[in-house]
Amino acid sequence: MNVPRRLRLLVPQLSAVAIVAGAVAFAFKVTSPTSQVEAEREAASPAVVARKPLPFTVQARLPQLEEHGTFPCKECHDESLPTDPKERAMPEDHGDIDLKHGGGRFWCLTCHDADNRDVLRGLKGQPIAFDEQFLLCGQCHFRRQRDFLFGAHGKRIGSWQGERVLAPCTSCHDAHDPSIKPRKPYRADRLREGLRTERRTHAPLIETPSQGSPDEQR
Amino acid sequence: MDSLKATLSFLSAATRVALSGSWRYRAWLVVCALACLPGMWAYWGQLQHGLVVTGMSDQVSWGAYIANFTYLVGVAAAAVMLVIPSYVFHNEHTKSVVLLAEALAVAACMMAMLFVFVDLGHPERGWHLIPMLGRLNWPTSLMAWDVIVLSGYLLFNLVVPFVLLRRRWRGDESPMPWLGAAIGVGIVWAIALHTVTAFLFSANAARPFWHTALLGPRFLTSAFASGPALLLLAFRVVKDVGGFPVPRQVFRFLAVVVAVALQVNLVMLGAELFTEFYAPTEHGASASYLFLGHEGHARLVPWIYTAAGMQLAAMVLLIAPAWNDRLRNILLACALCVVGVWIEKGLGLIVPGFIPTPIGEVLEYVPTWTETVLSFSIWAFGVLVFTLLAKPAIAIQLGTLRSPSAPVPAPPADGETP
Amino acid sequence: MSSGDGPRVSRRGVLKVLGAACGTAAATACAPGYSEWLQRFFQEHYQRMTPEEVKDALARMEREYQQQLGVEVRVKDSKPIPGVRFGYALNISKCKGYRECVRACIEENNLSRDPELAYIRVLEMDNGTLDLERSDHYYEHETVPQPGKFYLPVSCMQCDNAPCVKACPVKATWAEPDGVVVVDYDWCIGCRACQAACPYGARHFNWGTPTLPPKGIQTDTHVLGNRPRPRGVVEKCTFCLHRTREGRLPACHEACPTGARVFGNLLDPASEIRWVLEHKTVFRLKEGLKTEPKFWYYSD
Repeated sequence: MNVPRRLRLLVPQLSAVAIVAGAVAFAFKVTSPTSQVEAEREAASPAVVARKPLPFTVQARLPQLEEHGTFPCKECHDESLPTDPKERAMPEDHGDIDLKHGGGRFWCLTCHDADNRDVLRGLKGQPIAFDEQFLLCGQCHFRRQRDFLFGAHGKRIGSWQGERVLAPCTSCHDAHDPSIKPRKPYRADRLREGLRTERRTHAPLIETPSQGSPDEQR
Repeated sequence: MDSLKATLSFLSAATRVALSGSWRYRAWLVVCALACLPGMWAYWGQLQHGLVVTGMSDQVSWGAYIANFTYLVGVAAAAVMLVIPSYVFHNEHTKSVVLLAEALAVAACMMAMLFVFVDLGHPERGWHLIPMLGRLNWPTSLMAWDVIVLSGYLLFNLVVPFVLLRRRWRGDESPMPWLGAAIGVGIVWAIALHTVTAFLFSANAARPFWHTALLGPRFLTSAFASGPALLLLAFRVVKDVGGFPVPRQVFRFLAVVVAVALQVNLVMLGAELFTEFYAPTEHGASASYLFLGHEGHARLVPWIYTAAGMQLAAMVLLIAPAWNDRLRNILLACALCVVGVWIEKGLGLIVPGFIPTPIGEVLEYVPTWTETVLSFSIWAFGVLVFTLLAKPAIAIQLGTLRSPSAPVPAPPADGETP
Repeated sequence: MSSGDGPRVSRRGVLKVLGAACGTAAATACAPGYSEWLQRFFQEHYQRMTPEEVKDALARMEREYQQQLGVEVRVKDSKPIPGVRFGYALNISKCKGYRECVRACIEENNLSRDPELAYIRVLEMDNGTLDLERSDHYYEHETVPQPGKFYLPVSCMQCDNAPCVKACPVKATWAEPDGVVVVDYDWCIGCRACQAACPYGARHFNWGTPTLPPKGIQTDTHVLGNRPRPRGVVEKCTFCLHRTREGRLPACHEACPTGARVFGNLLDPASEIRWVLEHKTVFRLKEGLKTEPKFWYYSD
């Protein structure tokens, strides 16, 4: 009660200064980066980058083909069925195959070995096993192949550590029609119960011919 | 032991005064208590089913409860507007009513705490906030700061008036050397309380609408507008109904505080609007949702213009020389200010911070009946608390409630200029 | 894994006394199940429990799941692998918006079906912009991808400088040594400060009681991960730590039909994720917020 008047006048100002100073100190304290981040940055220096492809195995493709009944090919393509080297339309026996790959530049024997149907055939005539199909695909798709070898393309199976097992190209791509086909998505999130469904609609940035937009109603 | 006995008899005397009175007063208490019941029922339902009974969602994860909390923290902090002139500048007029302001601060603090409490998904785990026993994330979490400043402020506003009233009750006039220091702490604490609450929001870089350095100052100015306005209204009621001689100068002083704070608040609002709308970056999406509507979602637009209009009208009423000398106009201005700031700071600040969400979704928020009823009841509870605290405080201030052992009352020195 | 040390003894003592007092009260009240409830009420913070206490708590959880769900759920406590920090990269030119990751995540992580939660949001974006406000979160088409659109799955980024961890008032969420931000579901008070702090909408609150299909419960669970959650707490993606800490890949990675996802150890210079980060043009969402996400996007 007996504080000098001048000092009392200072109380609000002092309190404001104290708050600001406290806030600044606090902000510094909570934003200082964690040491773990720093350590990680150092560990990530490019000097230790692995340049060689990681060792890997490709999941065997043949068991699936066998199950499918199309392998071994030699069961039909034996001595009794001589190879006709003339390029022609898809024979009836392989009617399920719609060859779109290559845009008309390929036919069967571009990739399949004429003499031994149980293997594929590279550009230099070298045989390539069905289980190593990435070697065949990579002849043209060499950038993809590089991504595949290092892990940026394709799909690792089972484990992120230890032995690296990769899915073969044809587990995702149809070799005769490799692009991934559009299909129906899994349904959208439902909003929390008790709230009415509200949907966002807005004009697209780039107008594209749409095939009728079914997303107006839900 | 003796002082404990004295304290107990003081408490029982005060309680007796708080609970007795004219039949109107007692009816008022019953009405307030009854008004708390629907909220209890609503909260029981919320406990049974979870917060799913509210209008909140992962998109808008804070709603009416936190909006009311934010507003009430401001009201609580605004008591400092009477504490500073009373104890720092020794203004006798404000000194006569400062304890009522602190009673309002207590009620506001309790309401704010209740609003946070009912917003928790697991209220029974509240003990996790207790340091040592639980694990309070202090000083990193702003929520932890808020817990500390809010409970500290409540404690302060309970203890200091309690001591002062008890002394007056006993007729003790000896000097209190510690009071200056306590008041100093209290003033810092009040400002810190509201600044910390502002930081609770502005610390979220994920929400550009809140992430502005102006939020703290804006919180303070809007609090110093709405808090004193609410105080002024409360004083009017206390004067008319409670027969407490609130000095005319107090009304004038509070009106000036409201007028100044409103002007500063509107200037800051203008500054924010300019930044948001002159260069409409993605950070302005929430503001444009609030003021213009966002692609057809415009539920808050009428509200924010109502709020802005109310504040503007209140400011004009308070500064226009032709109007501002009539008490009726001042009361109207204060009512407009209280409601206007409540809308602006509640609906207009908390909700748009979530719209659009950080990943660009727009989901509007509407409070459910549960939230509305529960909020109403918490306000009723606050009114009840204020009434129960103000009644004995007034009686002691007026000298009608005194310890039997108190010396003969000196002629009342303060508050004699009605 | 820093935990309270100084006040540990006294605090533990207080808890013990409280628990014992209440336990006695319960015994006298002869209310069956009451002491279990007390144990749950006074359960310690995960990081402060002794190994024995953790074991007891896990056993109790398993009992409770057996009672409530009628299914034998195993709750694990597998620890982070030393020298491992998880990182995730996603090839947005491969993502076609099928939402298979969403489906797998819901099933693997025992996410509530009603009200429904999903850790992954696939945003349908207009070609030519990365403006999230123009994205559609609820696209329903006969087929995807739609022309003129690309797809951006968003989930928890496991930020190194996580704003949610800073925001929590009771330290109920923290970053594990392998970089995964986890939640102690028995410690969270449900204040949702973390939800307000997260710039990616990655944290989800159990507004109602989570419901799981009796036959579709994943019974291999982790205490900090996919075990069935109570109502009123926040939960989030944990990079499937119940799988990844055992060397397996996350469920969303396994489910992705286009191989758009790359997961691995950021501290291993020979890992695939490191090769992607060093040889691809990558970006992270909202990098300006300096949260240091460990989730990268790249394109072919």
